[in-house]
Amino acid sequence: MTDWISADVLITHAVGLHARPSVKLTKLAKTFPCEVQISGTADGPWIDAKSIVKVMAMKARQNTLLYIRGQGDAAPVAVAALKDLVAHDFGEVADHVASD
Amino acid sequence: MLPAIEAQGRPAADGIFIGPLVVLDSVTTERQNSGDPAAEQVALESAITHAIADIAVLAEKADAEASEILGFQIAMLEDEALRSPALLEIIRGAAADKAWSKALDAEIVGYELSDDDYFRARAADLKDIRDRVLRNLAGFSSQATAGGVVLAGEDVPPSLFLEADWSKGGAIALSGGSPSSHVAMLARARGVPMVVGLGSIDFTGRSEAAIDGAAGLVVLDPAEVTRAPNGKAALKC
Repeated sequence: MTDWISADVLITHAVGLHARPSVKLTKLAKTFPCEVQISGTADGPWIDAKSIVKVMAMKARQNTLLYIRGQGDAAPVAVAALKDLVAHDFGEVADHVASD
Repeated sequence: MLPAIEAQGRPAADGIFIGPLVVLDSVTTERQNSGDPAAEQVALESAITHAIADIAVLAEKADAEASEILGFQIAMLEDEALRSPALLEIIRGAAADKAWSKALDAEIVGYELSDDDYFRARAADLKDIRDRVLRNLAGFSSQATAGGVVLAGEDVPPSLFLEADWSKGGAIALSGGSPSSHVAMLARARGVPMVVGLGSIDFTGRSEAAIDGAAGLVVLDPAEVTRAPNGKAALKC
């Protein structure tokens, strides 16, 4: 069993991890073969980043520090990619600027 | 004709409209339990598959904003985590429709209890998904409506909004609903007047409604409406 690769990133999107960001996050997570999980705290509970039902159920808002971890093939790439998506406002930069 | 009544709600989309009232029924499906868990499981999986296909067709015709909302519904339906509690209930002997309702209602309550407007409004999307699959299980298709009417009810599902023809005008009056709902976003984008939170308003026996979206005002069977040739109206009650 390999170790978990971990990262954390602040959710800056105005309404948090809502419908569109959750769709993008789960779609990206599903492109990787490894397990990818997220949590609102460093100790879990960890939820499957490939399940939109579970990701939405977290109801993570703006300014939540999101913890990401991955294990298995391509885990470092997967964790970095998810972190990058959240850090760049899920590609919704225009929305974010407009709501500032 | 009943006397006019005026009801005050919350503004959700600006604009004024008067037209025939169409009250949406909640889905009341009665379906026989086959008693065979394997058959019930196939029925549910097939109803979900058809729902995904129907929403995908709708998404193809939709603009970017609408197609993202529908994309969210598809992603939820495709997620095994949404259907797995229902499949478990079916193995225990429940009928497909009862099992699906129970599983979705549990999800919906989670959203309705949120103290965040945005997450609370997602309950409407879950209800939309629930009812579309229930309609498929019961063997009838969508409630699609003609345009040029005032859609009224507890809430209007996003997919129904997208199936309706708004080119002839129209408006939405809801006893429930939310200005943060996906339907409210779509109504604002399309210029469809919309009022939510009308509370105990009774649409029974009413045939016409006038709406002032910006004021959050709805008049049922208006008596003194100044009708303009374009079908719009100045509200006076």
